[in-house]
Amino acid sequence: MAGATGPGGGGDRAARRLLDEIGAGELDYVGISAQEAARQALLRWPLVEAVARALARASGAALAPQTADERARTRLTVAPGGGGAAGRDDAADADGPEVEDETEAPGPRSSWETRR
Amino acid sequence: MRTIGIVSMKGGVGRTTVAANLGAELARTGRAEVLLVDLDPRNQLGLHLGMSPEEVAGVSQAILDEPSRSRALHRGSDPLRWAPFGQPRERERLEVEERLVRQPELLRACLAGWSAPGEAISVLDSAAGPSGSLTALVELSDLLLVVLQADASSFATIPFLEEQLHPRRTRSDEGLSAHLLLNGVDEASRIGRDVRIALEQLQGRWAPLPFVIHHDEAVREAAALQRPVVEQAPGSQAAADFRTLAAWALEQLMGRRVADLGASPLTQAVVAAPGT
Repeated sequence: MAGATGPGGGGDRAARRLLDEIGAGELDYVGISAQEAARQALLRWPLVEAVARALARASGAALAPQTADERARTRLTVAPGGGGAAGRDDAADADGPEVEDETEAPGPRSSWETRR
Repeated sequence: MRTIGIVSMKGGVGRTTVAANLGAELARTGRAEVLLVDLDPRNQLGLHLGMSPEEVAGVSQAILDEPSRSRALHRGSDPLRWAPFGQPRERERLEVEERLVRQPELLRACLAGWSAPGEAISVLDSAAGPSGSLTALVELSDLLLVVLQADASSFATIPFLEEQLHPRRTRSDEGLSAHLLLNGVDEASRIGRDVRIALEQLQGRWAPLPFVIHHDEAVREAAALQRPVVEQAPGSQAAADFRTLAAWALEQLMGRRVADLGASPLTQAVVAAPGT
């Protein structure tokens, strides 16, 4: 069920409503990691995601790598352990290459552009 | 005396309800004398405790006139006393704001006028967002609770917390102990669940408390009856939540051990998932 119930979409609204009514909404998150649950949570709500990105940027935390589809949507997510000063070093060390934020201030994008 | 400050960066999140019920529950435990102080010009705190809507006297008057005599403005009786903000004229209200910004110690003088016989806790309810009362609370509080709801607009206030809270602190003897408290949580709300997950990823200073105050109709009913929900509906979910909050606050302030605060069901579900 995880990932199949974005806002306003999907054919399982009746099932979703039933789960909510019986208080089993947490089933959305069963079987996936905390990191994946957080990633999906951010992707569902643009405002929540934008704030999480701002917090990550302010704390210097690494941002998670994106899939091609996510990159197309210019959506970034907070890396596991990121978002707070306490987890900054761990996140930077453990989560692989940092993905550039495409909304940063304009400037030369590559050495090729610099040469031009 | 130890001081708990209740603040929020936006209105309508139930900050005053939390203050009233936390204060009432702390008093009910019998472990401390409690003084609730309303610093919000909307003057709503006393309405949770039986105050007449026509009450005009309050702590604003003491801040303007004679802080050391503020005890005369207290209502209730031990172990739970409370002081309304009052209903000053607009010019006086602005003067109160200015004085609290320039001289937060005026509020300390107001509290000093209250001499409780045993261990004492003051619970201070601020106005929403930046204000003179926020400045005074950050300066005086031993424990600061930032109340928010599990929605996107509350989440959007978090980047401003650092800016709004810490520069106001001039006390250098100890750090500010600030915690996020989610209020009015509906377990069936999808956006609520997702915001809680997003918050739980904030593993630094602004990680939320591991328990929440659930949405409960008993809270609104108790408020309409001008009684704390912990007294009006002690068997309700919200009353249980406020007992947990009070036990946690006592532990924070007085080092008392709480056997089991418990994690939220949502946290348990995520933590229990394979691959975590």
